Amino acid sequence: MSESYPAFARMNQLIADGSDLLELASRPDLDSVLATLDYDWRVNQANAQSPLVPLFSRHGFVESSGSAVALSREGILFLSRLLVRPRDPHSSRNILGTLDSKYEAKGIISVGKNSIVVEAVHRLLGSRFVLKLVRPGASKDMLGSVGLLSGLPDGTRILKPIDLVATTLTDALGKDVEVQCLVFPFAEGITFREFLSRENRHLNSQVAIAFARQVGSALAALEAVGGYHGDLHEGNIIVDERDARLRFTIIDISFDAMGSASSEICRNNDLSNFKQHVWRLLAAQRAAVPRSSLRKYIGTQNYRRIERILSPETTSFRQICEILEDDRDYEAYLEEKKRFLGERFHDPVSFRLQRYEEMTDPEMAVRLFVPLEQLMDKIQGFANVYVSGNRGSGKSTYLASLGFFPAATSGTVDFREIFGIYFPCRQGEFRPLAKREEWSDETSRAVVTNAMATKIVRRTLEVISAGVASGRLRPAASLDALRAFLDNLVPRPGLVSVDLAVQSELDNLVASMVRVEMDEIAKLERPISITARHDALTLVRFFETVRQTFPDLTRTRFQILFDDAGSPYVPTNVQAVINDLMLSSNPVFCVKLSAEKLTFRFMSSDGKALEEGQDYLERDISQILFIGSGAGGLKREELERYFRRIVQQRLEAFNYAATDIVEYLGDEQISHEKLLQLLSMRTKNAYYAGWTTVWNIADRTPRNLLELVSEIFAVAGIDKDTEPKVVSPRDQDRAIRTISEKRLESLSQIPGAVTILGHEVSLGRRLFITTSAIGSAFGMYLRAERGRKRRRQQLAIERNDLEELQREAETMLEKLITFGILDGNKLQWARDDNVKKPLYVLNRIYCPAFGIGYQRDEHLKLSRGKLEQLLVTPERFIRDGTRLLREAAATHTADLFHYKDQR
Amino acid sequence: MTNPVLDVIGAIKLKILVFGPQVHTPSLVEREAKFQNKRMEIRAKLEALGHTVKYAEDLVDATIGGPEGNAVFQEIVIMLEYDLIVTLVESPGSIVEATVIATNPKLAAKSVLFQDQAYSGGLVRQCCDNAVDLGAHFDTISYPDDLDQCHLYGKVLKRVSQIQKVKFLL
Repeated sequence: MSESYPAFARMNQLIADGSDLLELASRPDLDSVLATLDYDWRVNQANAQSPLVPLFSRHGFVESSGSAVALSREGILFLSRLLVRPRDPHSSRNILGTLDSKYEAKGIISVGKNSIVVEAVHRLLGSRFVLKLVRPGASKDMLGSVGLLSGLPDGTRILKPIDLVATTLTDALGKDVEVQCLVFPFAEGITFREFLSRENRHLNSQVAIAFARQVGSALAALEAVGGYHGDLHEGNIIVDERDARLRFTIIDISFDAMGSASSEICRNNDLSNFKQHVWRLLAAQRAAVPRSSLRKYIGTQNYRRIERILSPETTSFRQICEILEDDRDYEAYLEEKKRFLGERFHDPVSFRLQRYEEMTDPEMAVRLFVPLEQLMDKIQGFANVYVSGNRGSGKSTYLASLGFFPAATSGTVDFREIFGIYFPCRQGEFRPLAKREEWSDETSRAVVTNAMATKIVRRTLEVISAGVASGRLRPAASLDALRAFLDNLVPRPGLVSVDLAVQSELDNLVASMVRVEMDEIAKLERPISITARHDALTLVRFFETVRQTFPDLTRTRFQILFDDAGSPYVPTNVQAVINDLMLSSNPVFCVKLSAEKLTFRFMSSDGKALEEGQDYLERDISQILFIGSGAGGLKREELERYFRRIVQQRLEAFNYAATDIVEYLGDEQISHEKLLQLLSMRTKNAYYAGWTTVWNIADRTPRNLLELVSEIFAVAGIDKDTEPKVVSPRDQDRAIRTISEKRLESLSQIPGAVTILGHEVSLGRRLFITTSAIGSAFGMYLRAERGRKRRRQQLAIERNDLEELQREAETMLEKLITFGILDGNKLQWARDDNVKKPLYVLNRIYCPAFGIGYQRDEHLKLSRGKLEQLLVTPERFIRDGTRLLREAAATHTADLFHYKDQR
Repeated sequence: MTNPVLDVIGAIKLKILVFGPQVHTPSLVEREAKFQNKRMEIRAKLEALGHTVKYAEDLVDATIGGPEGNAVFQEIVIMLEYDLIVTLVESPGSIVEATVIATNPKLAAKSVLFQDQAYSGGLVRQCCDNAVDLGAHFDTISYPDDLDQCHLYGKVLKRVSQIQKVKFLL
């Protein structure tokens, strides 16, 4: 076995080799046996006739023999381990010997193999000290070693002895023994062992790095003067958290008082202990945040540093310090990452980039965003706003445009006036807050409010910190007020900060809040005990503190933006807490949210229904983009211009040869009347083509528009380098029908279940069948117009009564609206009874799939019973829902899928 | 007559791993049940003396993905941290653990392996012999006597006491 192994890595061998010594130590008459040695500590002389002498000789404990024997240093140490001991291990009385006149022993800290450590108070000065009584034989040259320690640089985080004195103790047999005593100042704090074992609520994510830097550099300094600690266990590192900063101090340095262990072994022990401490810190952090990877938690740069520190190739503390300072490894990693991404991924340069969430570059999002002025004005004002609209209408984009994104050099709004804190709820951040069965309503409210407050504070600090780092925000002159606020916000013992060399003060606050939030979420899995009660007032105070702290935000008003806040992304109990925040009218922050229709419940946690117009304003994008006369509608030309600009901005951003979409699509399409005629005849040249057709079929939905254009480009093989030319109507038609059918068929993929006729069935499948029934019915009505001079297109369902629908039908209708199949925003004056009744318009994106026109000329008027039939049993409705459908069914077989082969 | 040095030595607390058959589901097979009970008894009694005693299965983190999440790799890392590894070489898992110990001198040097003397000629026994060659301590047990009585625990306790003494005296 190599001598470089720590001693206890040879444990079994040591037991075997030293069994006789171990037996001796176990004897009940130990003191009597030892008395036979009659050992005199002052002159190092033992009785040669003692039966112990042969045993001591066998183990190299005897240096010379004769009538009286002298013991070797190892022998003296062994004997001192047996004979120099407190009379009562639980009492420090008389332990200091002659030093007792100077110091009053307050307690024994440890009784070790090489020393006895005692806490004491100086009798005259009254100050606290730690006295280390070094066993005889444990040190070769204590004075020289202490002198060596004086060479350590100032500021090294090692507690150095301030004095080396001698004291005379009495051994277990009543003989005097002179012992050297190191005097250390008392270190305030808790031990590293205690630090690790307590509930580390606020362990900053960079604690392991701070530990490695502070303790590693101290041991490197020791290494540089030729020393070592020798006993770097968890009790010998003191953690001081005073002054809001985490400091690690090494105490009880055992350099040259390590008895029989060689220097090399002691150094290896230091290194091995150090690595284990780093590992334990990381393990404690990982245990507290089990759902997050360590790499993500501490960051790639520090993760790689830790990996290198823990590797067997790292054999000195000097190397450890170099690793902590060296950025080359991380730079190489970044370079390699860039190369990898560059080889395998390309920046999106196509119209297919349609969802806001798909844009990884906020700068690109800003460039591609085309706000409609009258809509933007309505959304950005300081008020609680619900942004609604059809799927793909741009809800997320409008909401995100209010957010502060540090990486984007410009924004749609001025962050000095509007500071948006954006939460993309679709990513699932709020799902873990869903109410558990065992929670009462009050528990749910308190727990979720606390978690939401923590999330909002954390996210705000994150973006501000990134803003300061990127230079978009000026740094604060002082963070004291913010720190004081956060210190009160988080559970005891408050914030933990690491030294500024590891991360800035602001990043310290962010890292602590990240950790606090993780703890909040993790503790939801356990029985809940509510220890804090935050509310909207907490956030008001927080935002006011932020205003006071950051010079660029003095005047700003905060807008908390929840994108896609409907179910299932945000559970209803979390929605209730968002409503609570909305109800807390205040001049500092407001709430804005987007959600699919009917997926957000405007009900506070104490059951108050929020009133539209009073507690919040609804901004329905699709409604605002509705073409119509009067105050409520948008002029047709305005909408056309807006849509043209959306496409133009992308053509410019992606460097297409032409930026006017008409150069690619043309605008010389056949008239809608002609299209209807051809569609009613089912002729093959009933082409959906041309810009006007495309933006109409997009039905006020930018995502539909972009999808249609990009498909046309794909079919015609147009890319940014293609010379502009009008794509043939046939190709345009093919692309438009493809998208339309794809959208129709994709309805089947919508997850979830719905109860129909008492049976739970697939929601997606029911949506598909019902939509098919509606579209097919409209198609049959158009076909019936064949031969007429002026053909009219049915494109909406009109209620011809106001009776309540049965539950299953109502649910289906809500789902059709939620998923943007029907637009339920319009009311129609009925000419027969002059009553305004609901109107449900089919999304025009489905028109090509059914071979119908995209203009709404007529409404299919249905009674409650017929509408219920359509919604609950669409298969029946298509055969006998109306007189025309019954007649059509009699002449040929009508089925839901006949639209597929209509020409 | 009391020996006060033993009080000081007894205050040294060890970190101990106890390998053996799983204990989360009581076995209906008598032999396995006896080993399960013995493993739990060893842990409980040593914990009562103030030692930190763990089962490896409590320490392996099932959520770690990738190669580093492999339970055997994790156990090797965990074993390095402990003062004493007690292995009741009986169940398939404990045979794997004994095999790992038999290939690693650092682990073997602080391991104590116990195996039923009835299997003295088998492959597993030879694996234990390899571990002994690398520094492990090996002892046989007589089934069922050593399990029904306190012999096995006595052997473990003796080893614990010896390690405490080495830590203080040598």
